[in-house]
Amino acid sequence: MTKGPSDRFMRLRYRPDKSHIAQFSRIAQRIRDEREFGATVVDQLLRATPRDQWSTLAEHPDLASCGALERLGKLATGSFAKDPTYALAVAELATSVSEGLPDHAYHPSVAIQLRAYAWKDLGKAYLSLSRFVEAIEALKRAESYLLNAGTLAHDLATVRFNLAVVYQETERYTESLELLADCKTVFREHGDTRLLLFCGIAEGVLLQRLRRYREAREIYLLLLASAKPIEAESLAALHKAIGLCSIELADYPEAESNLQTSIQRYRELGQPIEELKAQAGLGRLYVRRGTAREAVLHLRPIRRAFLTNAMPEEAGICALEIIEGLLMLGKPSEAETLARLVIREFTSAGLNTRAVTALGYLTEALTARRATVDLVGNVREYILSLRSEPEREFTRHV
Amino acid sequence: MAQPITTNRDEQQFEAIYELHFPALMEMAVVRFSLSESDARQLAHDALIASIHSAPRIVDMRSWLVGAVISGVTRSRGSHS
Repeated sequence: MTKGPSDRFMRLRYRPDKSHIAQFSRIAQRIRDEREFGATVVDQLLRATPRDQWSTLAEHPDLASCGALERLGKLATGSFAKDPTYALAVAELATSVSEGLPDHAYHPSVAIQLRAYAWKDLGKAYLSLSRFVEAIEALKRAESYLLNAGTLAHDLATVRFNLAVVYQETERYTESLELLADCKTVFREHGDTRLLLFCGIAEGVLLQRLRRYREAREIYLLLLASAKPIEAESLAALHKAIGLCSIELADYPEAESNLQTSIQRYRELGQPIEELKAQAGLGRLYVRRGTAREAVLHLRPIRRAFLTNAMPEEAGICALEIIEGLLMLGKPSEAETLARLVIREFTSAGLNTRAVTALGYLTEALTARRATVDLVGNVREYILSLRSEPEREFTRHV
Repeated sequence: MAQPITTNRDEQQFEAIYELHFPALMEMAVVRFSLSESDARQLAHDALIASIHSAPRIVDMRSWLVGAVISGVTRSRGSHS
């Protein structure tokens, strides 16, 4: 803030209305007070009430506040990855509370924000459960509150960013890209470098899904080179993404360097699962580079670690990389044994039966000694695609 | 319900925030976007009110408020859908 003559002139010329200052101060004080109170009351009420009765809390007077709604929002957000069903229950309660807020309980702008954020969190909860249709409905509802509020463009862009992410999951790629472009403009105008970065990463992910690896990598590299500070976690994710794109582009030195950086950063952050995923990427690189022995040696302990962490699908994907390596080493019998083991793991974990069918086909081919590296790759791609398209059928001649 | 815990000092701080940002937002709305003083006054006020709920997530308050004013003007002129 400058303090020169022009600044003094501006201050004298544009004096705020006393009534406006008082209103701002009154709302800010109230929300600040409610934030202090909201956390305690929400935690107490949720603890004291069985989850299947949370809907009865929707009309509890102590929850009808900005502070309580913000606390519910924080609880939902913190649980999307760890416990999405809990997140959904919290988000459903928040939307009921927000819809039940009395008229004139808050300044209209604040009331809009409270309702829109509750619906946005509900949309994200559905997204974390892969319930995409409901996620879109909830996010559209959030969007509808914000459409006519000019100064709430940042909130609208925040909702639309999440909508863009859901659209990617449902292959509505063009709409997703358009939304992301609009969101970037708004976030840039508001100086929100964090969400701007997230938009960039989402664009990159979308291009990766479309197998446009070179463009995706360009985006990630530009983000990395940006002068703005990047959070350590985003930095680790960017290096991993660049590494994975580089594998597909057969740029192995770049892939190795970025994956190693990502692994190191995740280790420093104390995020062992993300570190494991980056390690799996490194194993994939060894396979693609043709250093099969190194790949198998590297991937075996990674696969065991995934199993130890109750991640059978990741372990199975890792196993398919190992199988590819074993075929390259001329060890089809070992590959066959491993494929049978993965089928048992997938079956006992109750994973998508289509994945088991595809693995069964691969195992038959391995037994008949007619399995190729390409077939293993196709089965792997198919199983990965089931994450976004769980109903997709396996085509034997992919 | 929530008990008031805000002190007079807090109240002064909120007023100071308003007085700090309001003139620059006004000038931008009037000079850059040619808004009338009364429209600019309402827009700057709306942006400041909108910032209260978003405050915990805002890194740079000045940039955020400027963005809110720009969005307010462009959307009211139909530039944004």
